[in-house]
Amino acid sequence: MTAVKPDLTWPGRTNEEWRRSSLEKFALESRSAAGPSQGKPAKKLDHDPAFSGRLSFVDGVLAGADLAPELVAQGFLFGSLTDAPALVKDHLARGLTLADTLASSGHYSRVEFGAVLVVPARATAEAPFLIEITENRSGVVTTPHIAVSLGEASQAALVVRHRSPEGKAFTVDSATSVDVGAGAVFRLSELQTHGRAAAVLDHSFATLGRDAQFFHWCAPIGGGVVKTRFDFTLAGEGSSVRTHGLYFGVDDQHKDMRISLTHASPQASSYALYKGAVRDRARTVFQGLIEVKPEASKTDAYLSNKNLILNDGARADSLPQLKIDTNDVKCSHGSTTGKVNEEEVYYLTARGFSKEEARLLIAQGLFAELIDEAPSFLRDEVETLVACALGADAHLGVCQESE
Amino acid sequence: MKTLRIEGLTAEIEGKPILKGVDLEIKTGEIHALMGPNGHGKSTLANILMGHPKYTVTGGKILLDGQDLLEMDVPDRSKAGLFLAFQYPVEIPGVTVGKFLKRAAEIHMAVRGEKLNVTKFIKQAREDMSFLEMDQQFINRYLNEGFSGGEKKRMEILQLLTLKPRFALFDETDSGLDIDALKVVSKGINRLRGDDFGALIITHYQRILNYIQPDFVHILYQGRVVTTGGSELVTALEEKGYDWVKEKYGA
Repeated sequence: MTAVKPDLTWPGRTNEEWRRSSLEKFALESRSAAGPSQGKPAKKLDHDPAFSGRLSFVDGVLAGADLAPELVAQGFLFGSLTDAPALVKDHLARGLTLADTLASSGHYSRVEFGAVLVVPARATAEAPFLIEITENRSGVVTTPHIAVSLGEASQAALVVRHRSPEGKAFTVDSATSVDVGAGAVFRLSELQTHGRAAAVLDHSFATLGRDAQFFHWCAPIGGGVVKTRFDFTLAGEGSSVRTHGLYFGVDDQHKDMRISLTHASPQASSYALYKGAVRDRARTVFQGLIEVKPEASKTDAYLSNKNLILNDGARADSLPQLKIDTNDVKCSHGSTTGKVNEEEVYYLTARGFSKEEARLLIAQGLFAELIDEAPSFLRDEVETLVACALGADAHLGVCQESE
Repeated sequence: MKTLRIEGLTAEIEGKPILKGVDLEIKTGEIHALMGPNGHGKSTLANILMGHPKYTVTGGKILLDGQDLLEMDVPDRSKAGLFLAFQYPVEIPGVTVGKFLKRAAEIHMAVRGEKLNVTKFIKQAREDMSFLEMDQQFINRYLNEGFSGGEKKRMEILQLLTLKPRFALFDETDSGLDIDALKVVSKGINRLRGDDFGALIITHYQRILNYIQPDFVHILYQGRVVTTGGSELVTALEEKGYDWVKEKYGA
């Protein structure tokens, strides 16, 4: 099922995408592939009406599965990669064409497990699908893939949770591939809460058909070193992408996010809003690219990146970029990086808030519009994760101490 | 009865002296108006009382009921019962009015050893908002974000009514307000008027004083209170303008 592209090399020091992140930290060469686990057969999970279906992977094995019976009858497919080999093969081959180094191609030659969601044409799933991928192994590279295909005029939402406990040093090299058919509406939300010892490589790509709509939300909270790359292609006329991301650097965390939005047909619109905060000695990098192909007239694109520096010594780089090869487009990008505004702190302290609480409240406020975009069942959890990432320990008493 | 006493206060910003010896005493039960031309230290005085970090006090004392205010940080001044209605309230994106007000109320109740009852708090906030002719939807909006000038000033008064301070400073609360908003804001201030409340209304113009009768009127000129009187001072300013102050007290 895997795919290989010859003649690729490891990214060198001059590779723009990898310039700010050390490849060695991902230990792709020193750690071996996790290989198939000796898991028990998947347990049928009780149906939870809050979800259209649920899949739970633990250590590379499908541990639990459920799909609403009425969706089975309508032809929905929600299961392992092996349940749709042709579709997975096609997705992996396409993912590989986007890979330009061995760092990004490795996933496609090594995929070990993962999930498929196929939404039939004109079908609608009201409740979200949930995929939980939990990893407890150390010293390995684990390679999960999620392939999603939405038929014409269908609608669905998928929530993906990646997590691992503290203290497990391993590499996860994950990817998610999405096809949103003509007129279909898809919402993908990704929450990553790995332990700090984890190295995270992630590649998500999506292709949109005519008038398709894709809503994307991601929160890479955990991991020690994190490198994510999103490639979204507006292939169909009138298609639209809205992508939201919130990310944090705490202690020595290193997070490098790259998002590329390619407008390849007319009348398409994209909106990207990414916000980060760094403290301690952490570093984040945001690289955002809007590319407008010659055929993409009447493009409407907006890319915004905002970073909050919570103390000296922490660093956030923001590199938004536009590449426009046609006239008659509306494109804008903006980037701000700064500290908490002291006039705002003064205002809140004049109402009795301590300086620390004022700073936290202001920082949390920056992320409110992104928390609002989270799936409703995750919102409280995300709010707590954000507060903790911003240094709320003393106020909430619910934040886990990391090692 | 409590007092807010300012004695011989001198202060500067970035090495430039602004206050050159201000003396003023406000008792609970009294409303004072502080008038004067722009650029002579009115807003500076308000922000020094509240503790803005950009000003440096170079001499004098500020005592809030005997306590040395200059030894207290900004939140402690607020918790001790001092309130500043800002001339330019800042916008705090992502923090709803409801969340902010509730937490502010909670902090102030904790000082008195009380716990906030959420149901009671919401009921009171709704009443206060309708008293100030504010849309109830304000509770869900982000603090001051996208508010008009008048809405921001009403929000300051809503906070005033929520926190019920002992002493309040109104820093040009009337500036930029149309007559309807001015009436509403004045109504809010007048509601707290009583034996347990003292206020300093800082203004360039007399018009807010048509709605809030001051007990005392002071004129701040070149960093000093040059004269103190009653409403006859307001009338004099209305008739003669600030040139009269310049002629009489100018260096």
